[in-house]
Amino acid sequence: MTTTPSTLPKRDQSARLENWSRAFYRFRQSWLSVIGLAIVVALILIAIFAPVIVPFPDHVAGGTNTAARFTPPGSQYWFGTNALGQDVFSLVLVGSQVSLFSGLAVVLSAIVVGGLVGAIAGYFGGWIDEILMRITDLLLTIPSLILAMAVAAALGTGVFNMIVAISITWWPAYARLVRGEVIGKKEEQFIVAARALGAGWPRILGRHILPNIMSPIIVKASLDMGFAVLTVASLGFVGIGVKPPTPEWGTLLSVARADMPDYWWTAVCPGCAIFLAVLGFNLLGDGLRDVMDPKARR
Amino acid sequence: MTLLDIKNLNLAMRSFEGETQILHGIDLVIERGEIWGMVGETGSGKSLTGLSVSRLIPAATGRYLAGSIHFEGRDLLTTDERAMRSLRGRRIGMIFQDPTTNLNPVFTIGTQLVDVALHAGHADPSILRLSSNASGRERKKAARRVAIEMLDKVGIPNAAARIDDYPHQFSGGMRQRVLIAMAMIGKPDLLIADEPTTALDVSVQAQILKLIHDLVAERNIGVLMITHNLGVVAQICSHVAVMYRGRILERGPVGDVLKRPAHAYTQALLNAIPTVHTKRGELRGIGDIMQEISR
Amino acid sequence: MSLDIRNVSKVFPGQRTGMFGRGEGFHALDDITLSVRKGSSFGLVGESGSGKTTLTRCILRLDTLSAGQILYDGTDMSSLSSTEIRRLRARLQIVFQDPYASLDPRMTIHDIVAEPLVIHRDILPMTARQRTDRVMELLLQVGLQAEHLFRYPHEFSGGQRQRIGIARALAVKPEFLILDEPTSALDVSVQADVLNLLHRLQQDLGLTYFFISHDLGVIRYICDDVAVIYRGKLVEQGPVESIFDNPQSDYTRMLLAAMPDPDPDRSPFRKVLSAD
Repeated sequence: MTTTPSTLPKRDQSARLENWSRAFYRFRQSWLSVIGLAIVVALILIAIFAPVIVPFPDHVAGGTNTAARFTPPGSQYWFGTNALGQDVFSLVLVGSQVSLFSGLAVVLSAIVVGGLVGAIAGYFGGWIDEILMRITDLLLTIPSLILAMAVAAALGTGVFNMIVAISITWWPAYARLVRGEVIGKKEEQFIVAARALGAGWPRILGRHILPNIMSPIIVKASLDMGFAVLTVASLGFVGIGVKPPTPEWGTLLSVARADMPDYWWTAVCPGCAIFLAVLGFNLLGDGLRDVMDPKARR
Repeated sequence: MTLLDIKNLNLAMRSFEGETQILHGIDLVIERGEIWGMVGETGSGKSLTGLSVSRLIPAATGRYLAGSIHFEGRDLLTTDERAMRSLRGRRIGMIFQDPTTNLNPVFTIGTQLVDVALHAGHADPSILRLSSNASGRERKKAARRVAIEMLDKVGIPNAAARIDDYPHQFSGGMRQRVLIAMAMIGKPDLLIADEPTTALDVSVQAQILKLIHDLVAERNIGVLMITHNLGVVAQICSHVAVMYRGRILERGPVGDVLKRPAHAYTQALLNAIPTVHTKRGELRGIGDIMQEISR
Repeated sequence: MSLDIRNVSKVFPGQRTGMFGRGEGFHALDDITLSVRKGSSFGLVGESGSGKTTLTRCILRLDTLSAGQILYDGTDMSSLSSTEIRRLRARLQIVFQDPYASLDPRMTIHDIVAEPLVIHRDILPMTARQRTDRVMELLLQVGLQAEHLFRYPHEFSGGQRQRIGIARALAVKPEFLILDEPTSALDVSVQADVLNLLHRLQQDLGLTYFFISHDLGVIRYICDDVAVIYRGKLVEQGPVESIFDNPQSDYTRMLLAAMPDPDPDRSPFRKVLSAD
């Protein structure tokens, strides 16, 4: 028998670090993904620090300045002012909070619910799969906007109701994705190896399958963040999302509709913000897809 | 004229770690009627040499530092991509290791073969045995006829009926035969076979080797056979080149190299193969030997 | 641990025909009987589709039998409770063919080799520190170094990965090892090292091997007894020397003849050439 040396190697953080830098190297190969990442990071920073950095905090809280209404973009008001004389730049900055955080909440809850349902359906198969997937199919047939309107009508408008309503129609997509991935991974040899070792299903699912299917979930989540931001804005636009005075991109756009085209900045600026957010998340998602493609690994 | 003449080929590949030189001055001459075996371990550069001949090294990562590859007197490394495309699948045929991934599962065998035949017939109408002003319909019909003949030739029983089957309806050995048929349809002068039998059972391997052997005898083509199996080399190759870390250590007629290896590495490779005559404990790995040599 | 396989058959159900009917099933294994002596190496030779993988899955209880019995040390496994089967799993381990696919790419070598120890902690209670020590001991035993402990599978060559697979199989001190083509994905030079390692481990640890391969040279090198399987049926079995030197069935003769020998003079084609 061999003797065990008394000194153990340190848990090698450098190996993990190298994996990350390797992944980032591949990510950098496409400058579009880097732009996507930059936009997303900027958006997140803005959303977090918006209350601190806005030039006119009182406008965000609902304060008006009718004397300065419809001032075009300039050095004092970067994005101009709206019909109430509020600084559009401040509103757009703070508006990122609602869009990003409710988008994130939608995607996260969809991942948790959908992931759980999909993993169980995919791993066990048979009638469990049958039942869970038929429920999933049923929910997929409901358009999210319509359901959100129905929920708003029944439970009243508000951020929380909106998130719940969108999530209900979003998790089935994740359930399907995760189910497919689990079924694919279930027959991989290292899973068979774990079964041969005597591992039970919670261990196999949690320790072996889930870590190995995170990549497509993360990619989809990133792409979906863009659509979530868009959906939240749409609901705001039709007036069943966030209520003024809380600034939100969709609501800002909806209010500014009346002032087009003479006072274009009131609509164009929140519109550009939505555009940038969606574009950023999509570019990031595409970049992540390239990095996480298992074929590029090894 | 010499069929294939690789001179001082130096290839570097770029990756996360930076650029590393993979091939260090490969020289190789293949004449018609010769089957050259290129043996080496994983990462020795044997496959990249084969891919270089068909110019399939991705331009984004691969860079030739020096050298030339002349195919019938024409330098392939300076040939433009368009001309290369007409060479590939026509004058230079290729067979790969995995017959499953190299056939498109959604098209029938026939569709894929007819495609290749039409493409080859476009460059050289004599393959379809038609005059150059034949109509599209005639060409299609001729291409299908050629495809059936080729399938028949590689030993697919009842080729005329099976041509409309899908790849999954064929066994692994049959798929490899289809791929050989596909490579041979353009009547290539040079065949590059990259581990053509590695994924197959030994009994099927023997049949495929016989098929390649007979094709060479019949058509007087040259073959570059890339493999890690010295047994395969001993069976069908006329010549062998032993590769190690991007260099050819030893080359020559199979009988000389395998019977009287000049290089210790070749001897070590031979010693590492368990045959039905090897006694327990007789096998030796290679790691220690190469360390001694490089010292 | 000895293994007895008695009249084992496995039929996969045929395709559905209509609402209730089914087509004829596929006989993956047909009345297989063989026994593996304790401390010996038993080779199973067969080509793809011969049923050797199905037999392995049956031995590991990853598949159920259609008929017959599999006995470990004389005990029929179908009579065991699920706890007893878990105990049995610890004594019966497997090394897989593809060292690239059989290791979880997201786990460190430490976690991979320690996994059987975690799963069977009720049989072999160990602290985390003891587990790490055991993993170190195993890595050294299979010819790897301590510095490999917290690395990931993709950082290793095929031969090193197969050593990791062997270390994992040995972790819970099994008595019986199923080796499912453990070297067929490796270079010959690496194969020689792994075969010699397996041979040494068998002598040091007194293991019983059930060695599956299509390479007759490898079987001859490692095994004491051999069985040849073709389309789910055993063609012949017996001591390695007698089967290889004096094959009784046409199929075995064909396999032996088709094996490419690195001696050019034995080539069937070259004889033709020299006759010309």
